[in-house]
Amino acid sequence: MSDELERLEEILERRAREEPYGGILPIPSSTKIERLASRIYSFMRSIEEFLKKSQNVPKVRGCLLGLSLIVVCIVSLRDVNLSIGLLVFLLTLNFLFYPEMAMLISRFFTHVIYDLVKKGTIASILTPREIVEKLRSVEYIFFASLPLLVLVFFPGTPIVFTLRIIGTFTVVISAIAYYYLKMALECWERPTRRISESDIISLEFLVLVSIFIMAAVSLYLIMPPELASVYGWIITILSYAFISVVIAVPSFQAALHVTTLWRGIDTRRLFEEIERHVRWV
Amino acid sequence: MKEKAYLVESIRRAWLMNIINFYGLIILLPFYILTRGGVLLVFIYALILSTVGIMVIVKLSVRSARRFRIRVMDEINRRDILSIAYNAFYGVLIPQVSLLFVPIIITVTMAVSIVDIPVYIRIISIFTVFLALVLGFTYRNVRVIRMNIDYIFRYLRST
Repeated sequence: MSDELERLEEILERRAREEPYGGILPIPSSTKIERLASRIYSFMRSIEEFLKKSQNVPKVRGCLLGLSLIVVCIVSLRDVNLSIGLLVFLLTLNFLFYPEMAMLISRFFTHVIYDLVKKGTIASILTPREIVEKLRSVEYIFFASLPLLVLVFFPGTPIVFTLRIIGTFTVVISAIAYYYLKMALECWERPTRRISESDIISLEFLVLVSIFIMAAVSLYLIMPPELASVYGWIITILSYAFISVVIAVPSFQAALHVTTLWRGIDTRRLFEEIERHVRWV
Repeated sequence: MKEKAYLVESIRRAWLMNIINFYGLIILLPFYILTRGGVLLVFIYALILSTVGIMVIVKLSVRSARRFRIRVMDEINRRDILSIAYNAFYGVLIPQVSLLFVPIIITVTMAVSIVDIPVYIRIISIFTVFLALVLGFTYRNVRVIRMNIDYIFRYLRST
């Protein structure tokens, strides 16, 4: 039996050697075009996944609103009346496709701007749920006003000028609020995390600071030279708003850290008390 | 008792610091605008501030102190320790913050606008100076604050 099996093995080996490529089909190597197509496909898939996520919807819709406003500005260079009509049409279109936009914009004014006017700072104590709600509206406004920074390079029609001023201020305020809310949410998720100076060197912070400064510099371009002192005043108030928020994050983290520790100590005491009084069977 | 008084004082400082700075800057804005209208307008505004303004500020400070007391008592009654701890930390830490970069930025912007250079060089130089100063001072401020928080934590653990 074993001889027969050995014989069969030899025959199979011989047959395999006689086959082209030793009986093994070579894996076809993909061509350059196929590799490119595969990359494009995976890129499109990642975009699709990004768009499908519910937390990215405000960002995408915000970008669309911002781009619609840019289109309006381009048209306003040719015909102002047409651009006003287009503005109304595009705003209505944005609202019809994303009715939440009205709520997000109103929440930005009632929560973020009102907080700034009432307390003098954007930073406040919020629960994670409140942070998420606020973050969505801030993200929407931030991503909608970000494309408006390009308007610095546009010649000044009344519409461009108005949108330029609105865009610059909303970018600055929403960038500050965005940073605070993102960090506050992270503080809630990891209460024992320590905030240190190394957080300042993170990419996200650098990007946000760059956007904040870009908006401040674009304000410099908007301001007439006679109002240079008013620009100084605006820089002072914006810098104060920025620094008060940056400082609020470590304070918030420390408060969460301490209260979490206290809650932990209280819970341990409670269990010790229970252990003393309850007879375990 | 001393600790409690210090705690309330820190919360008060945290609460007032932002309001005073924000509204203080808003009250100062007319000065910046009126300088273009001449000395007389600035003088009139200064006169209004020093007469009516003082009375308004006294009234507002009494009102805000009352509001602050109600708020703190409410937080204590609700045992909202997170809010109390946050305000206490903020009140202790905010005086450590340096805002020296703000006058430097204003001086640089004014100096750059006086010098006759192309617009793009002007923008790049302002952006670079602004970025370097904001990053440098934020780094320094956060470092100081982190050290103070560590100190407070050490104190809390030791007691």
